[in-house]
Amino acid sequence: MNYKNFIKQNPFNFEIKDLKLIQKKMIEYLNNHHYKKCIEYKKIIKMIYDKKNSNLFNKMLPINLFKNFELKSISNDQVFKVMLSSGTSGLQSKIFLDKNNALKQKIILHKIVSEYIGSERLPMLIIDKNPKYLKNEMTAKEAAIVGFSIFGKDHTYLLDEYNNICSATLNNFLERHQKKKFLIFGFTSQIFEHLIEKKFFKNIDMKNAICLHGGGWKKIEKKKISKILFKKKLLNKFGIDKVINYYGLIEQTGSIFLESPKCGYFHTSIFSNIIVRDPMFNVLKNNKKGLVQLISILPTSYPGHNILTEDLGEIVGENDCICGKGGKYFLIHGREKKSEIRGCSDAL
Amino acid sequence: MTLYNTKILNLDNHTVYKQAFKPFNKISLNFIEDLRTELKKNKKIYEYPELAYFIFWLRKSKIKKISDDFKDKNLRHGRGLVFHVSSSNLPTNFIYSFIFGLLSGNSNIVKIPSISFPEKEILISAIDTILKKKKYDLIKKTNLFINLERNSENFFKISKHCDARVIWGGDNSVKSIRNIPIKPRSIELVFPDRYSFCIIKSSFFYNQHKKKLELAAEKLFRDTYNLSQLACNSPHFIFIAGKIKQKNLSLFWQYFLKIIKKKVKFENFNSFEKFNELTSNIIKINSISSIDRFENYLYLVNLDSIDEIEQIRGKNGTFYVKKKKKINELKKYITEKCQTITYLGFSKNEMLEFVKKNNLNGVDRIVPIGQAMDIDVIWDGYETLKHLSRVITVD
Repeated sequence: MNYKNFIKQNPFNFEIKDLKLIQKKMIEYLNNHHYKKCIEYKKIIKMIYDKKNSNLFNKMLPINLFKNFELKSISNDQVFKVMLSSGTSGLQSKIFLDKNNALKQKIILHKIVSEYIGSERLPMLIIDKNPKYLKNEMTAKEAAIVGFSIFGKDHTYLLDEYNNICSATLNNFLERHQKKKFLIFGFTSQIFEHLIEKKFFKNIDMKNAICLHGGGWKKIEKKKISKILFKKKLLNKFGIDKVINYYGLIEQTGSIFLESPKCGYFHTSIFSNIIVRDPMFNVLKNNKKGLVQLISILPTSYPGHNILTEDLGEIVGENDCICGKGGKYFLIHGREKKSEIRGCSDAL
Repeated sequence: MTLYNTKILNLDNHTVYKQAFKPFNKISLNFIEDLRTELKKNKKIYEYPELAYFIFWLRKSKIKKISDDFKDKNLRHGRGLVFHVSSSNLPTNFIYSFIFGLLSGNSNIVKIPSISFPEKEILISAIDTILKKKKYDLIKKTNLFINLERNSENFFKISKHCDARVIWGGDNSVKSIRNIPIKPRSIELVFPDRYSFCIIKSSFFYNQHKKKLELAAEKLFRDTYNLSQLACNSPHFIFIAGKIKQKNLSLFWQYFLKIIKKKVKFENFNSFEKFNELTSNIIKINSISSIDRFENYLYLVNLDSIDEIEQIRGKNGTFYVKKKKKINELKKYITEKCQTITYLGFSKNEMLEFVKKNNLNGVDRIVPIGQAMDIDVIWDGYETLKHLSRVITVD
């Protein structure tokens, strides 16, 4: 099976014959593709990975490179869209998409998310403001809202331009859609701040909602809110029992990981893979916490197919999850606390 | 000694009396000795290499040597009030700066790092304990350790009143602090960011006894891994002069690696940062010719040329290595940015000759390998104690 045919497959079809072998071939294909097309990628691979160290999966780039350099495997005139990460901690990642790559990511994002919430467009309540009020061009936030909008209809934004909650908007939305399945979408911290924490929301019935949320837990963990407590609060306050967390990188949009409500774990698709490594970058066994490396076979216009992140995670198992989905299932434990940097230069 | 003709500086709840004293006065020397004794009572200090080193540094014979070196034909006196703006990301820098100010006969206000380094807490609590003694009332009145924001009112106030300001920190910090006015007569000692390197004579490796190689590796380790190579006196470039026998050199690195594996615990964060830095430099720096990577313990980055050295900083165990025929070829790269050179396989005389012959624009300190982290009252080219005192001539 060649690359073009492979990406047309159902993302959760783990029945494909010789799947592992095919996936390996895809990685090899992308390694070669980016080696030929991206000067920076070639430089790094040439320097670091000699022949005896030629494991396909080792050839990873640290995620911060996308913040400090403009890495592309296409010419400037092929750039169709530039995506920027939210960049809460300083620099933003810059991701260069050509038409083909943008489309591919959109299609596969749709396929993966449909697997969890169905392919029918649902009325969508967005716990944020309309992206037209967001200042930057194409931030991760905007990308997420726009990207996920394809799953919804009657898109309704809970916040106004000034981040105030519009109660009337909410009431109108609920009047129209409360009785049937609908979608709530937002960043984890926004959902916490604008739904869970707001005292004036009482006796609001949202039991038909599916709540899809993602993004960092940093802000919430400071308030000692765990994942379980987050879910419990949504259930107790609004009756929402379908809460789906998503995890993914702007560098690998499309091959997103969703947490199955049945098991509470993130799952890989046939287009993605996760490897967990120790500080020496040795591969860790299941149930061991370490640095998360993510593989996506979607990036072709930039060398983002194999990335070492700063996130900590652990793989729980593979192909034997109680929820029935194939692939690896795993947990993410957020970013590692930076130790204090000592030294003579300016503190960052 | 008593306070007389004293100007007082009021800072919120603190009052600092400002007065100049005789350098190496009895009360200061006693105080330093008591500080050492007090610190030694705390067994925890030996968990912190920098505290252990500080206590060693405070030993009587060292203070005596500093005092002897200080003496010259001039009559010297402290300048008055010294404002120490210590480095915010070094745990013990502030205490050395303070000792320099105290020994040279000054009142001191010391800005301490805001980060709660355990080393800092231990030092401050020991000082607090001793200052409770009545006999140190004078020291208590004329010295203050304080948390300060750089743009706070107090920072400006102290700057306005001090007779000398000592600034340690990164280039940007130093630059912006120097914009805060001091009195026309006040002086400033500045310690901005520098870099350091190590030069090795290749013949050192020839047929060398295993023990000697191991010892040399141990010394390089001491110079580099303590503060993750981030102190400016930690070498991150290694120049090897002369003909290389690869086998012998590899053996040295193997010993070095063994020490790292035994002594350093790498966290995920360190490895990520190190790998990130390496890959960034591969993109940015054109003169990299090859890389020897020993997992994430040690990266040896070989350079074609050293033209880009000012742009590169090795961190967390990353060394940029260049082989040169003769050390004289290095002279144009020894710029004002260069602070310390450590050497191995050369003699002290060879180093002296090298300095005398070459009209170097940089380097303030040349020490045998293993002594990069040692701290001295002569720092960055200043005789700090002399700068912090003034000469009174009586004819």
